[in-house]
Amino acid sequence: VTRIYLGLLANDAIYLVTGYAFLFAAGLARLRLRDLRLVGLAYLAGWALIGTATSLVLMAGIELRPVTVVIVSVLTVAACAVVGLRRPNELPAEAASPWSAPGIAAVVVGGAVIAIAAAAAVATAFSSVWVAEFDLLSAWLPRAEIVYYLHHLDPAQWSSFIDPWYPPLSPVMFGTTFEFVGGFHPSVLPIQQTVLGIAFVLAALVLLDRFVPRWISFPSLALLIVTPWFWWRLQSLLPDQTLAYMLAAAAIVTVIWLYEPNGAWLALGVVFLSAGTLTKLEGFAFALLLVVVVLVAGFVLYRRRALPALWLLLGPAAMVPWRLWLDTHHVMATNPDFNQPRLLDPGFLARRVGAFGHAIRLILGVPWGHSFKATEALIVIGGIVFVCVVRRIPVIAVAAVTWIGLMILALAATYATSRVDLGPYFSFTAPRVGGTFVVSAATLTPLLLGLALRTSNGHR
Amino acid sequence: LTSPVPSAGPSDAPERVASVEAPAANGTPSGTGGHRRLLAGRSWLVAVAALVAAVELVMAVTRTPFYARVGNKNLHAPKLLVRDADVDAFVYYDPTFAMVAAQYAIPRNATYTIVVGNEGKHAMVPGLAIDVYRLFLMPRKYTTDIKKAQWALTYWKSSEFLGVPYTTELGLGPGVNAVKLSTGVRR
Repeated sequence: VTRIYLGLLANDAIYLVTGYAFLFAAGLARLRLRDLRLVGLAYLAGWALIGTATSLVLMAGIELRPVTVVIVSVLTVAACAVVGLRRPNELPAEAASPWSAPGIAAVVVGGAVIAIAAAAAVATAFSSVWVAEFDLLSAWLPRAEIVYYLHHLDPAQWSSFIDPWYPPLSPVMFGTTFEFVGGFHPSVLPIQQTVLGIAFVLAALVLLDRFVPRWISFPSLALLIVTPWFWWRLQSLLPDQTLAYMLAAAAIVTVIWLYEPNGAWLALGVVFLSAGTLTKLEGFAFALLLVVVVLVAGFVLYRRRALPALWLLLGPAAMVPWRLWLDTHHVMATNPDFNQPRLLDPGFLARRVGAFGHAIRLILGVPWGHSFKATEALIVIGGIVFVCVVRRIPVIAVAAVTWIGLMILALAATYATSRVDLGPYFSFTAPRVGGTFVVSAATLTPLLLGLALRTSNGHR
Repeated sequence: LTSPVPSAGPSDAPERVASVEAPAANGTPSGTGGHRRLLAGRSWLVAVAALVAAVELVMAVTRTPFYARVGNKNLHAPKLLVRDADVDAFVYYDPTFAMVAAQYAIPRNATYTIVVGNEGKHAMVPGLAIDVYRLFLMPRKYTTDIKKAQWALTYWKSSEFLGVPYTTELGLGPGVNAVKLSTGVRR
């Protein structure tokens, strides 16, 4: 048992060190005591960076063993150190946040809620039995076993389980954990997932802290962490929650870039977008939509000065090597349920209008079914905030809402044009995939409020 | 990549809610009527933000005792060994000792197949049974062709009806057997 937990610790330490090095290269960390507050962001970025890098390493045919992960980490840290020392990136100085008694009270209460919910999640992850959901048994865990036992993406084994076209980041990260703990131990994975979830909350707090008064950011994230859609899934081994973390983090940093166009935010955006892309096929679609929306908004705001945002395309481009790997190894690359949607056939499309409406109703209706109305509150508050801030930061606010709207439309259109029966299928998938919309909306809402408070009317 | 934009002013504290009138210097288009100024003003936005924060905080706080109880209960729950916790999740589907026994019965380098019958009343559906046992039997090589298999794991299926000769049959649990086949690739 000691070896297992030491292995977990070593695994997490690698993510943390790699992430700090990346933040150093981006100019966000300067290896000072004050940088300890970046622990969540460092872990999240390190996890995304190592996940993407090890996935690419495996696609290149290199065996994955603990030493491979260590080498990838050392090389990344070295590269980041060189970049950080030779070409240090400068961020504008942070504005000091004035404190007030109500502000301090909100931070203390919000912080206490976050701490209690996080501690409860950790205790639950250590003590409760992991949930062996069907998708996990039939797709994600077997592929993690392939990575762990065979040390490479064995095409024959990979394609013998359902949905081989799904990208490999989640199984690779599970397999990496198994390598470090020295065995196939799915019961320790909820601990890793919970750490990742808490890291996301801390990362969101520190990213918002630069632009949002704490009396706004702490209550928002306190409500998010106690939302059933979020808290119960902190332990979930399905990749949907991971996808939500990566895309919401990508959305935060790219929206920040629209306000403060510094290369650090683009670098973080690429890391989160590529990890989201390699987590699920939906991640690729949502990441691409985010990049397109941010590019359009960037060109509206900054014209030619927005050209560096084209680097964000590297995120969804992480799908290219995966498609190449599938093609090279003759592994089925597309879902037959979506193979022949006959999108140019007017008759087919006319027949699917009803299914599209049904899909939209299901996606938008699912969050309203809980007895605790936190999810509904997050969505309603998000809508109210959008209406309030759109005059001050029209481009940024419209970009954020457009991205979330496009994600919903894209998901509904995909399901509507499939051959899958929407009823039972959606009862399982819609709440899971919908988590990305809720988490993104919940973290973008305080950011929009904070940016609007700092901005004069209509400038952004 | 860097093209910094001048930093905006410092953020507001909630006590500014008291000041409803929009400050003239904040870039707000100055409406003629008080109502327009009220809607366009920055203080109005601070008031909305304060209201939102208060609602969020109240909702979050009311839910926190529930999570505290869940966390406390789990903190004091008896701890399982990791190896038991790995297997316990499968109790929901089927007795787990057959799954663990299959790992000991079938050699690690063997090629095997899984044959699912319909003789069990509360058995897993065929697809799920195959997924669960494949998970436990990795890294053994799985094949769907029984003629290429060295071993067969039979799940609620009589070995006599496998259609291939076999030499050994090991009982792993109710309805579950590991059968060493006479066919299959020899290693």
